Amino acid sequence: MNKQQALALLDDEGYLLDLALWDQELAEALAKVDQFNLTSKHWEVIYIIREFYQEYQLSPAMRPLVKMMANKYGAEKGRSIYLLKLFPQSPPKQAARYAGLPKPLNCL
Amino acid sequence: MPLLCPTGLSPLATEAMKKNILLIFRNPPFANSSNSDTLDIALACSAFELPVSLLFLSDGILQLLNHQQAELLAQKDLRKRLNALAMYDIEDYYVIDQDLIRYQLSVEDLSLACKVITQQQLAALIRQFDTVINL
Repeated sequence: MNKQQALALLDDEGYLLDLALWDQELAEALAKVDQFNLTSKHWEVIYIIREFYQEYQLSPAMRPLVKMMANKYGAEKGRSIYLLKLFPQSPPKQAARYAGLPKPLNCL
Repeated sequence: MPLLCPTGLSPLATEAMKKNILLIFRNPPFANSSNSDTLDIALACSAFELPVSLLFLSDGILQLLNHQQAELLAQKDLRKRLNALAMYDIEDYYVIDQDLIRYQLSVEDLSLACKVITQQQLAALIRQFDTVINL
């Protein structure tokens, strides 16, 4: 998938229009558009966010995301500073984009 | 450990603005968007670390019943999103005993662990809050 094809799937703010289209390959393509490199640590967050959405029909804000990370991966990764290092723009927003989920509504 | 403040405001500035808020759900599910909007306010308050309590009043108590068939109305079920409240540290929920009686419900029928208060306690409860939002 080239940059043009990837961009055509996104809304004005860069979030996937049709959530059903998401797969790992698309996430990689979206990251590539941003010249952003997804490591296994980023993927942990992306999958947590998708799990959260599955369960609550919401893209999580920072607080629940931190809580989810702590529950699943332990206190070291359940910290906002850890997430901010991985996703410097804004962990809930940036990770939701690559996870193919709607923009988190209640995230500043 | 406190969360990093995403607004760029210092923790002290947000501390000074902190007011406790009571949000009232008083409409049945699917009546209009008020319950969904009220839930959005609750989640937004959590982002600002404002303490929020929720009161399910009158027909609003029906919002807490399980087994709603939202798909028949081609609407979204609020129940899953309501279940997320605890993840946003919103865990203070109230219902009135008379509303339970009126619909022949017990607290076990409700999808959130609500505290049951009487009509008399309601006035005192509402007075405890700096802000009451009632859509």
